[in-house]
Amino acid sequence: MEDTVRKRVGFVFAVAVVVLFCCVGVGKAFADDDGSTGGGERTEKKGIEGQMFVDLLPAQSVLLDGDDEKFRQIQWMNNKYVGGANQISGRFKYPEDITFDLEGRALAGQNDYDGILHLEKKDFGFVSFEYVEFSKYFDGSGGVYNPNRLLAVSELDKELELEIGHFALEAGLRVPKFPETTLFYEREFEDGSKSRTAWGTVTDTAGNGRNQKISPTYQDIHTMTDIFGIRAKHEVNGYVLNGEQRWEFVKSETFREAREVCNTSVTSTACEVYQLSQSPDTNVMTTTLRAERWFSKDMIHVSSGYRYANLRYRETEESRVRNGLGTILSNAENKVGARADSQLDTHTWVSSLMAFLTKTLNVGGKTKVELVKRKSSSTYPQDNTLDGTINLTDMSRTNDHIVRFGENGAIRYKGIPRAALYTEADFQQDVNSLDEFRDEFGPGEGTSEDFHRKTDAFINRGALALGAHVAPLARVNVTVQGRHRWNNSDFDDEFEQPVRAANGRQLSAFIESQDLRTSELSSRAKWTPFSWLTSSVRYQWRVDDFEMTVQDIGGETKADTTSHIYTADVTVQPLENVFVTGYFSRYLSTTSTIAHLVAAYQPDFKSDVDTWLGSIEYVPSEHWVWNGTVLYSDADNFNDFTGVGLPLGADFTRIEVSLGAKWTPRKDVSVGPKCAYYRYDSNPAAERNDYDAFAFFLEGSVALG
Amino acid sequence: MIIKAKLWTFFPTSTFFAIFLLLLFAGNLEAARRKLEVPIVEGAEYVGSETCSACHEKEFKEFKLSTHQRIAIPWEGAQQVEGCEMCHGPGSLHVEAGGGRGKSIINPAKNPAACFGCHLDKKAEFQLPYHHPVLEGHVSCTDCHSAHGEEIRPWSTTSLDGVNEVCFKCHKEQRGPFVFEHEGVREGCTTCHKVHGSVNDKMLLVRDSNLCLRCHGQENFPTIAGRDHIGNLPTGTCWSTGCHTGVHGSNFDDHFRYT
Repeated sequence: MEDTVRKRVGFVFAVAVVVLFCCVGVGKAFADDDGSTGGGERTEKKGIEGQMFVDLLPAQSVLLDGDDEKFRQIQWMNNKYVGGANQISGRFKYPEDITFDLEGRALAGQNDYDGILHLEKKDFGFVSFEYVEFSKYFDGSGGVYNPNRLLAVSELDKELELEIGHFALEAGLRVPKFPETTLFYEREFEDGSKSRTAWGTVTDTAGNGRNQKISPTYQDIHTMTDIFGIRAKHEVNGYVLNGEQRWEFVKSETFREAREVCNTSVTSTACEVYQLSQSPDTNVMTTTLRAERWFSKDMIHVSSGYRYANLRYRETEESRVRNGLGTILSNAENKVGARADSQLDTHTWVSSLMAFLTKTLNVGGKTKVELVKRKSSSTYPQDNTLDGTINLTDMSRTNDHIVRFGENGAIRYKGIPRAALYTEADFQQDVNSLDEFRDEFGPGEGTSEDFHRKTDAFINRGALALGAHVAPLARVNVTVQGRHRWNNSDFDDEFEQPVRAANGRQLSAFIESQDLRTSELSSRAKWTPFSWLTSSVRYQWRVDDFEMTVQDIGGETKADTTSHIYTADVTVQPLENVFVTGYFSRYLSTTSTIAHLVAAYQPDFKSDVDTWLGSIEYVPSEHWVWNGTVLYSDADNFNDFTGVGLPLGADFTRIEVSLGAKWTPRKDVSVGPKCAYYRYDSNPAAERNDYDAFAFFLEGSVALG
Repeated sequence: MIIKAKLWTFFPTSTFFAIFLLLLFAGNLEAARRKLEVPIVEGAEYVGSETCSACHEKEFKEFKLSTHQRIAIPWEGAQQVEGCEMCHGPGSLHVEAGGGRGKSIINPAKNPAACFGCHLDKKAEFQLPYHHPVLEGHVSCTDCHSAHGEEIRPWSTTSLDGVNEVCFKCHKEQRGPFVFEHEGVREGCTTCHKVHGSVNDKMLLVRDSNLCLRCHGQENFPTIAGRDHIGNLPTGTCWSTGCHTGVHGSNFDDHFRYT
């Protein structure tokens, strides 16, 4: 609450400053005006010059039929009355090379605020202030499981909205021949609730007897981040030196609830509510130093950098298990006073060299060395009945030592007429020594959770890319790129206590080795046959291959994701006052794992979607502009295997149509009504949150000065 | 059948006629049309990067090192544009006005249309139901990509920033470090999330257990890590409540349960 007030103060301050400067700036501009009303023309007298543009949205209203939460989530738009300014921008010049820029947006009802104020005096310095706030909306629906008779769907009775934003203040000195110095402070905030996909259990005794995880869950979030620091830049003997010292303090409080839904008694232990409160705090201190220089008449560029980061993290946690009436149940997941601490130290060195050997050939190389040290520990006390007696405590400790090397090489060649060719290679080698320890103690202690294991992980990753941009004809150009990436991990057990159990629960890093490979090809061709017609097509192909070997199991398991993306667009001006664009995208993606071989578990997962976009602009006279847009999107991925699993593929049709007009009676004034229709029509077997909505917008703009 | 035959004869005729008309008037239309190349600055002409360097020397030099520079074709007299104006639009009016923040020049940080001119596929991804709010104006391409920098990608094997650094700028709750880390997160957030936009909630690449089984499948499936999951897999995702909810890492459970 206190932070919300602080946040509002920040916003009110921002608005006040905007209004103040607007009044002063525009007032002065008009006071000095000689009475001419030439829109957009500059007003200049006594050395003060001002220009301002305001794009108002006095009214935005939505008539909605259907699921309002889904509408808000997908359209990023509130279905309540919204009004304000879409854009405010201005620039004022004062004597002695002082300039003031402002830019902003304020839409009340939609919690959409954005403002930047920038005051600068040439060869002296600047002050700038920024405020941003917007809302992210979430749909509180869970899943759909049709074989259930009574509880096929479930919905939260809570509106989910997360307010996200920040305000920042920056001041810098820009005096010639002195180091450029900048002080900065920023507060970021996140307040509200969001949905989670960690759905809870739904038990329907009238269904097919299987408990499905389709009950929606949410998380309340309250996070404040304070960031401040100083950065400086100076040139000494041709070397550009940069330094930044930065501190970041993150304080967060979250609450999560997962409610089991059942058509049995609410006092039943089969219908539990799981609640989790977490308070993670993070302090980060970062020191960054960089130096760079151009040599040999700007033919060679060399740079080097170092960063040290120290991160300290602490989390406290409590969890409760209740029945549907709120009574705490005796349960092993009742935890009290759980606490975790981590410290992470990272040293990173980078260097790079780029040489322009000839006018058409340049080569470059980069290196990186990184040392990471992590120490983490936690205690997890369990109080089954919350009677003050700790039944069990799990104590965990992990240490990481990572040594990482990275290398890069690049060649760019433009010696062939009308062509640019390039190739690039990246490599990285990680050695990670991981030490994990866990011990369970207390009156009811067992040994199944105890272990101490040391694992060495060797990771090799890299990428090779080859590409070209070719313009064989004046109005045709083609780009093509092929890229192959790999990531090979090998896990070696150095120590393991107790020795691997028969059921494998103590296996250290149960993956023995893993190879990930990605192959990509992307190509684009653009054709502009006339100045009034341009079009392009693009095709991308990507395959992600996963291969792994699991300890003591043997054999190699394979999985893959294959994607094809086709896009095409055309822009045409068939008549002098008509401007038309069309756009199509087809995204096809299939993920296949070992599960599809066992038909009773999980077939391949598809994320296919087609998207059509079109727009038309018609300008019948210099006072009128008419425009229309259309979006059609279609996903058809529902795969009905409800008999053996829970289908979760997206399956919907989405339509957006808008029609607007803009009337400009004077050069500096315009008025524009717009209406829009939004439709989301989903397969009821996959989700049940359709909506139809009509929106009306009234916009107007005025240019001053 | 007759109707079908008529349609077949009608369409080719009308299509050829339309193309003929377009070509006939093409020459005359040329002069009257505005340029359709994105980014558009009404009434402005291209001036070349050397002109920009007079005021923006730092950016001019920086661009020589950037990823975008590698596809620029130096070709005088043609319609290919090299350098600053590839993204910022033709700069003649900006130059005539003596410069100025956003004055007669495109700022891709404010308007992603310049980026979409080439990265068409991303435009479609931002239209999907679950996406970062770039089209809504709350996030810009430059929040994650340094268009002038040596690396346009948020991360490379030789960058000062770590693999997920750009994501953690906003998603700090996933940063940890956790007592028990998920190696999958170390591979990068993009292993599981389609970061521009997705048809799946939370911008997931895959919305069901196949997401996890890509790495956690094994020969004796449905046994996973020594435990038979035969009764669990049909009920929902691996990260359902009561299962492995702490997929980004856990401070208290090495199997990421109940966190």
